[in-house]
Amino acid sequence: MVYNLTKGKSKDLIKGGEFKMRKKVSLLLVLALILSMLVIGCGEAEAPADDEEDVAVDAGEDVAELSKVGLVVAGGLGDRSFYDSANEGVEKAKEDLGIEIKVYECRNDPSLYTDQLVQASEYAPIVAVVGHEFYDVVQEIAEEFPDVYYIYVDNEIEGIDNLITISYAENEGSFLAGALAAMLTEEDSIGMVGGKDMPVIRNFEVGYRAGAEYINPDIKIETIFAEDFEDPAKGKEGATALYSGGADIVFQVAGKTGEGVFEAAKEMGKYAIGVDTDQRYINPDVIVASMVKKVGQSIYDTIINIQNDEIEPGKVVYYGLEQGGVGMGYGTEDMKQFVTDEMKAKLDEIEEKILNGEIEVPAAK
Amino acid sequence: MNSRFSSEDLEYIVSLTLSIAVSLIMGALIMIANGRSPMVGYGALIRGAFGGKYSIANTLAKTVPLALTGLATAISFRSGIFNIGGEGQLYLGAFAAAYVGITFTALPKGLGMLLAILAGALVGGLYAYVPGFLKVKYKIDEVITTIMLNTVAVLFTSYLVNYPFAPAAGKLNATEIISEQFHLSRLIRLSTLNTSIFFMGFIALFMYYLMEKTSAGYDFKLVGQNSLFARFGGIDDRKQMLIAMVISGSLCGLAGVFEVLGVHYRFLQHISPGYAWDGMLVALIVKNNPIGVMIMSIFFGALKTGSIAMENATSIPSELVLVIQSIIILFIAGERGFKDKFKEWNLRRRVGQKAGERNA
Repeated sequence: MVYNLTKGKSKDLIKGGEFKMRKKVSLLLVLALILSMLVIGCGEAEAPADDEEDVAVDAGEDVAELSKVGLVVAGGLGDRSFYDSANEGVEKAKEDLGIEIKVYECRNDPSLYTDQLVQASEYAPIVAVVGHEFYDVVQEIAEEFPDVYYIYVDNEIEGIDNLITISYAENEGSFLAGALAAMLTEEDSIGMVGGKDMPVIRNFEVGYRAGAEYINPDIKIETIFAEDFEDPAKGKEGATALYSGGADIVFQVAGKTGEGVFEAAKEMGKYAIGVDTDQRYINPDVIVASMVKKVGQSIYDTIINIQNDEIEPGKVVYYGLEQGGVGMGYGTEDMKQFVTDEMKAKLDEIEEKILNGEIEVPAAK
Repeated sequence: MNSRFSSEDLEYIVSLTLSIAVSLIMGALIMIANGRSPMVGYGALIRGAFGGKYSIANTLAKTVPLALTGLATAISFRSGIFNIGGEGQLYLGAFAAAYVGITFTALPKGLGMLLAILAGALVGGLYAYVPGFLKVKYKIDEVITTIMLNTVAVLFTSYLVNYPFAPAAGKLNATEIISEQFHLSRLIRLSTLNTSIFFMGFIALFMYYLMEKTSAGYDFKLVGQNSLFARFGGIDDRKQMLIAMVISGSLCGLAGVFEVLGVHYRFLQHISPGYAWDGMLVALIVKNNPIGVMIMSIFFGALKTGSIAMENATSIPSELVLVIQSIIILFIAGERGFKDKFKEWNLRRRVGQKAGERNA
């Protein structure tokens, strides 16, 4: 059936040649519109709008002082994990170096990445960008603001002079976490709740798996991806499934989602391992340790290096066990300790072996 | 002009304006309760949304996906078939466009782009056809099937970008960058506004024409209001529903296509922060009216851009805008009830006055 593309609701009343004529004309008009739009759509390419009067690009003046830092995060603060760690880094820089800081949250909304990064670049001469999601956007904006330094965390980009990327050896830290889990478990069954099935998180997973199998080759390891970094309910669901399946320790690598893992551990009387920051303080009775990824520390170091002009432009900085970028956190003395001194000694021994190359930790990218 | 609006439309516009005004006042009260000045807050919001070329461009850039998903919702809801699966159709449409963009790299600019757009629309439409078909043929509730198909599409594309289509460079869950000739050009420096706004404008015109000015549009409306009545009136209601569903799916697919071709230049695992849901709100607020959808999309786009600017300038959380949006929706949902109450009160008052006059 072809629709009568004509005015009015009286389709059956109008008949005859005139109507057909009008129908054809309307169809033609529609076609013409489509084509003209296509032409506009493609032709506009030659009209780059580079008026700059509206967009305040005055970064040049501030560069000399380097006294402001903008922090752009892909998710939101308050995860007590990855993003909060980055925030701690700039907060520390604010205290120690007396700089001004401002945080720009994108709340996992890809349509805000460019906007927020532009805002931050206009605000500060140093911009810390946290989240692998910014891979394209940060390259594009870094070229637009050549006088702004970008510290880009969690990915690897080389060759842009005002862009320093920081990459972490999550697999090395997770190797220790896996080894610890294998030593602590009584069921010979452990689990992991990942935020999303993606390269960075898979890098945690292979390390964790390898570490656990290093201690006990027959250990059962299961991973569930929550497909979310912001939803504790999904973390709880995943952890509950793992605990019900026999695991007694679950490693959470899921940001805020991980809070649900801790809840599930508490309710089911099982244990969990935290991530990114030393999370033991959240619930010292179920969180036995944390695998720490020192995002904040690395940002802090890089800010100082930029201020002292000690950076290598366009390079990737690696933070592994060797650089103290990843490691284990056991909370404070007054908390109930699950990890015995022998276990710590064993972990130190493993760390030693990783550093001197005796153990090769697999990586997933 | 007067003949354009029926009295019912006018009443609705009045209640909508009132709802928005009241929700903005409530937003102001929340700001005051938190010790902030609403003047400063709203000032920053308006400046952020409309203060200068760059801000306006950002607002318009946010409008494109909202308008498309809003129109998609409008046509399906108006036809009495509820497409809640916009998100899934958007994801698959976006992926289809990205697939074309990384595969057919030898095509010339115009043709390649046309192919990418058609592929996205087609895939989105087909993905909507399935639940539509199940609905008209087997009476399987489309609300449930479309919602479930969302998850299927999101997880399926998530698998695709993590394994078969994972990019060689960069730890990213996305496809490779689409080749250069598929990029819609940006219009304003530093803003993601691109030529998809023209496509959107055309699609909006077409949808307006289809929904308001053709007999097909009238058929959709009739089927939506009472499908049995429409059937006895000689309209093939099942077919109309199915067509509406497919158009709706295509529009959602297009929303995804433009995100890929115009904004990100690749398919990202989480490319949509819930555009289809926002679009649905937009359509519901204006009762599936295509012109209303356009105006509301710009309004919502402005709220989004403005709220971020407000947060950056005054540190009033941008979530406040979600509260404002929710209050608008609350009022609109209760619109008929409020209106009836008001009319009753007004009638009583008048009757009272008349009675008073007579007594005097």
